[in-house]
Amino acid sequence: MSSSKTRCLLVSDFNIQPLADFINHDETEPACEAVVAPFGQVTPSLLELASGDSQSRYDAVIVWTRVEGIDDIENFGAALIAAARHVKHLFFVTWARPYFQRDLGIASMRSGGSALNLMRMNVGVCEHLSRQQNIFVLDSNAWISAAGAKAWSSKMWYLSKVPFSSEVFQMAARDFKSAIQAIQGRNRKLIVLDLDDTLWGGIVGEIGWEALRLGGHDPIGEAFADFQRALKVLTESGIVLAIASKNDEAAALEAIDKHPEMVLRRSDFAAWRINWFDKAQNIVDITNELNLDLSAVVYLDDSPAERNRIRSALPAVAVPEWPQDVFLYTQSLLELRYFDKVSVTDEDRLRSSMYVADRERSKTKQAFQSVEDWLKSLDMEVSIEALSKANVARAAQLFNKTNQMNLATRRLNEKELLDWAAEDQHEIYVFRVSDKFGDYGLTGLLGLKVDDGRALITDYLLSCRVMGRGLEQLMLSAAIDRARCAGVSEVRAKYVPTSKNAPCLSFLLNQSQFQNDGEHRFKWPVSDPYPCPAHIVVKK
Amino acid sequence: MSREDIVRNVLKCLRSICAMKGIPENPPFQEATPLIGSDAAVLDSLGAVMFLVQLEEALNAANDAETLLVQRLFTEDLQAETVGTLSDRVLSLIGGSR
Repeated sequence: MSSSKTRCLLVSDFNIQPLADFINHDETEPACEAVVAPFGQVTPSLLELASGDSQSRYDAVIVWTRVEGIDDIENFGAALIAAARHVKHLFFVTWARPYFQRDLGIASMRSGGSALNLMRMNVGVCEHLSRQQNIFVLDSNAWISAAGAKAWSSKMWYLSKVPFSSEVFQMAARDFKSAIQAIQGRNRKLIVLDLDDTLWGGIVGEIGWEALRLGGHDPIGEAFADFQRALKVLTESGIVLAIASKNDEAAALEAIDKHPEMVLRRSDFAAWRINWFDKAQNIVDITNELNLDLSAVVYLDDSPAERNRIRSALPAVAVPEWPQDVFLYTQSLLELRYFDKVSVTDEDRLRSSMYVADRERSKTKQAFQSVEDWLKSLDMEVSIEALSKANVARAAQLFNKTNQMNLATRRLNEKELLDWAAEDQHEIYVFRVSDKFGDYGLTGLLGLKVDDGRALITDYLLSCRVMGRGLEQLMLSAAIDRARCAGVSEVRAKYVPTSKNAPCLSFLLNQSQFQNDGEHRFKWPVSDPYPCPAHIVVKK
Repeated sequence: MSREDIVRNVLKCLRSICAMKGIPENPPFQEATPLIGSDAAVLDSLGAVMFLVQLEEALNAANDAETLLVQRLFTEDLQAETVGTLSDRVLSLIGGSR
């Protein structure tokens, strides 16, 4: 097996080979290698996984059974939990029933009815599994309804014990891959939008904001307003919006500020480039301003020519095909898989407002003679907490998404992080940062391993949103303080290069004041005081 | 439906199943390509079933009628078939003009 592929085991009581085929041969990321457990051997397969014998062989296990094969929900849930202890991720697929299985019609939704029982079983097992951090639920009903009346194939069932049509398995494979991407923190977080005929109907520079089709008693205007509402909902889960539009900036901003039916206002956009320059360059400028990688961007534009321009100029940017039909805009947005995530943290909910606060910070920066004076004016405060169940969701998100200021770029999920921190002499601390403009949330993480008279910094990562404000030094200072308490003499760090973490090496070499021990190794004698930045207040 | 139409549908469905299963079209599929029932066959047993079901759906849509192709094929002995021999059998089962 190739080590770069996500290795999956498919456990089922039906012939699940078509799902393996789609997972293996679908060209979307991540590359996977799926194998099928012996047909119908659900319980023995789960027991084998629970025994730990196949622990190192699979990154993910998908368990997809027919409801007819389940005798006892609690036993089944317990078997899933036991198996999940020995794999990175376990996916349970919800049970469904064919549309033609009407039973007694309305009686099926009454007490004891089959449809109601099925709902209860799904809810029951989902609740049973919800406390497990590496068990995820995939909703088969979404795939089945997307495939329509052809979702269930009696013919395939009788001929080969495959209950579903290919469309269902194809959708399942795509959702599974999106889930893996989300777990690995590879979801995208910035939507760059065109304006005319994308966010509203009409050319604002020609007809003025008053005549735009947006909201009101107008099916087209209503479709644009709904599209904006869907974008607004995404911002509440951490997706950031920006504008790249060939337009007159004053006219466009006037529309955003004044049109009574605008759902998205200026404060909903983290950045904008509204001008007549090349949109590819504008997108690069926006990502530079927001300190985001181009691989975080999804670009939405009604113009096929502009979409093609961005695809060819910026291949890292995701540019989905976009319908000409405005009535399909919202549906097309909701269908995108770029934004899947494991959970929504407080930081996600606040992300858009954080970027707006950043804009305010940048404005004030220009008023100061020196960076030091500006930093002092921010009234920065930091709180330091040990990793816990309460903060692990955001910590894992940060751990798996941070690229630039990242010492070792390890990738661990929530369970693995908690397990690692629970080991003897291992410690993980997280850093919450705020200033007078707002709360940055949990933006730093420090991992330490204390043994042999030394403290080794295993993980040292900081969100790019707070880089260059003295937090780098504060985190090293915290590591040294902790080492001092543990009675060790030296703090060490080993930089592991990746294609994206050169800023971390640059900091260690030029600003950390740690001694360079060669071969990307750095150290600090605990007996020496470390210069902690004076402009940051550490809250206990 | 002519034999050419049937061959075209057979090849289209074959390519669709091969794409799903990651089977390369090398050499290019043609009438002599062994489909099922021999060591040289392009499709395994599950692939063959999926292919036949898809072919039936395509022919139903083209004919705007239930061809019952799979049922008819499984009523008979389904042995080694190439693209060409299967197309002949389909033609004889569902009728049409050569």
